[in-house]
Amino acid sequence: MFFSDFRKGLMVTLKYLFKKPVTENYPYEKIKMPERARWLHNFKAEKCIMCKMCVNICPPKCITMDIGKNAEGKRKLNGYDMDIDRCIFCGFCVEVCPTKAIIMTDVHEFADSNRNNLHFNMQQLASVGEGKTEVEEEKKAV
Amino acid sequence: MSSSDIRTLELNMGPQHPSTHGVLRLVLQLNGEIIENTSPRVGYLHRGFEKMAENMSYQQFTPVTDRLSYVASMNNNLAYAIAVEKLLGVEDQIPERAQYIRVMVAELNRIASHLLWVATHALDIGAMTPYFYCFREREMIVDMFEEICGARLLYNYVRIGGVAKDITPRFMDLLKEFVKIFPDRHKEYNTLLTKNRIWLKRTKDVGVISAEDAINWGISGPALRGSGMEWDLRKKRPYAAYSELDFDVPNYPEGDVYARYLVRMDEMLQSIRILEQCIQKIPDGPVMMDDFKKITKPIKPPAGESYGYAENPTGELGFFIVSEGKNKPYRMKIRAPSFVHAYALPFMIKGSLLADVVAVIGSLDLVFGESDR
Repeated sequence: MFFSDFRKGLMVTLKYLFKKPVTENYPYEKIKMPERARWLHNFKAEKCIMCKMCVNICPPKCITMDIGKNAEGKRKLNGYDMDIDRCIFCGFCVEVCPTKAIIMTDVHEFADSNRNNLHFNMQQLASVGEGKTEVEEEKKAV
Repeated sequence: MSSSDIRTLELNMGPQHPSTHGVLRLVLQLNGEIIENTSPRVGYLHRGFEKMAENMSYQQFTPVTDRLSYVASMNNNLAYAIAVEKLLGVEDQIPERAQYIRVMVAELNRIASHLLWVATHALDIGAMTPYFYCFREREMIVDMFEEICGARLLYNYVRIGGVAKDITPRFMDLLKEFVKIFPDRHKEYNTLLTKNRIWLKRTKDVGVISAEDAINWGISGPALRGSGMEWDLRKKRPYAAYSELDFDVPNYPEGDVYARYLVRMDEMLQSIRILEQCIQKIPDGPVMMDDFKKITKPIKPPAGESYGYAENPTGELGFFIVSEGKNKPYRMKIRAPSFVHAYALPFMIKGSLLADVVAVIGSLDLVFGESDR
């Protein structure tokens, strides 16, 4: 039979021509992330005990912790900065944290045209993942 | 200048050439369309991994090994974990469940890597259709990995002493579904490529290397098995749980691009066989040795050296670690298959046509993350 190899191949493509596409309509329909998703960090300063484990384990050394003293002379967390630009999302900081002060959320849309906007400070990290849930609730209300 | 002065044409291929799969630069000496000589230039993706290892703790280096061959991160993690476990002398104490999970993720990643390979290799040669079908199945595997470790490409999952987290019931469901449908999908790739006359013309008797030459050049993995050598580290030097599993080592004696293609296609089905057995056999229990549960606890292996290896989709990936008894390695040498294969390339393409260079580069599955390290 002439060109039987081509015809067999074309039959495969023909079979899928009338089926539903397998692609996701991503930017318009958000993807549901699995529970263990390793994305942008959320940091809760009130839970932090300043053990510096996350600072030491971080392979690209992107976490900086500023520990000062308060009026009573006790240790106090002044700042907790993450350079997300350098972060490799390995999840080690989350694994080592004894109090779960730092966790990873499923916020994955934080691309920016300015590199300086990827330096997150303590306040910014504390609010990661919160705004997103509000948007979802708004959608549900509508 | 008379015409007799013109001998060869020096042609620069890459590093931005789309079919070099990254950043391989080839300086080709052409006589008409025939390749007279080639010199590969690697190093455009050099990130200094071996030096980085000397300045990091053993645990910290695990996510860096992901970035070696970024299409087979699980296998890289596994090879590194085995090397460090050998150095510590704990390779027999790894929990049985962890060993099975390691085999499962390694085989899944092997299928994913081979699918990516078939897709891009076919695309290089001109067959665009398989690309979309292969990526559909690869996506299923990537979804499975995302379920167990949260990342889609750089997993950081296989750790020293076991695996990071236990697998979830949803992972097992996805895996069972995948194992069920994959053989049918595999037949589709076969229909699209294996008997296609254009594919046969482009790949048969191209880039031939004999078994003896392949061994002398240090070629390993599917490229060696495509030359008729039945050499597979999973069979000959079993690690993880491979000694308890039954599988064949496909090999074809022709030594050309087509033989290497057939080896990889058959290997995918063998991986499915291994996965089926793993689903049956996987025992319950812990997935991590107690000593390594805390990754902040420094690992201080005794002074000495070890060589850990694994059969990666590309070939044999090896980590040679020299320890001085400190918490950081004194020296780590990474034996990357792509590096070895890139330097066997001039031998394989000598005397062939310029258009065949693309086919031969593709058939070796060069990944420059591990080649340049």
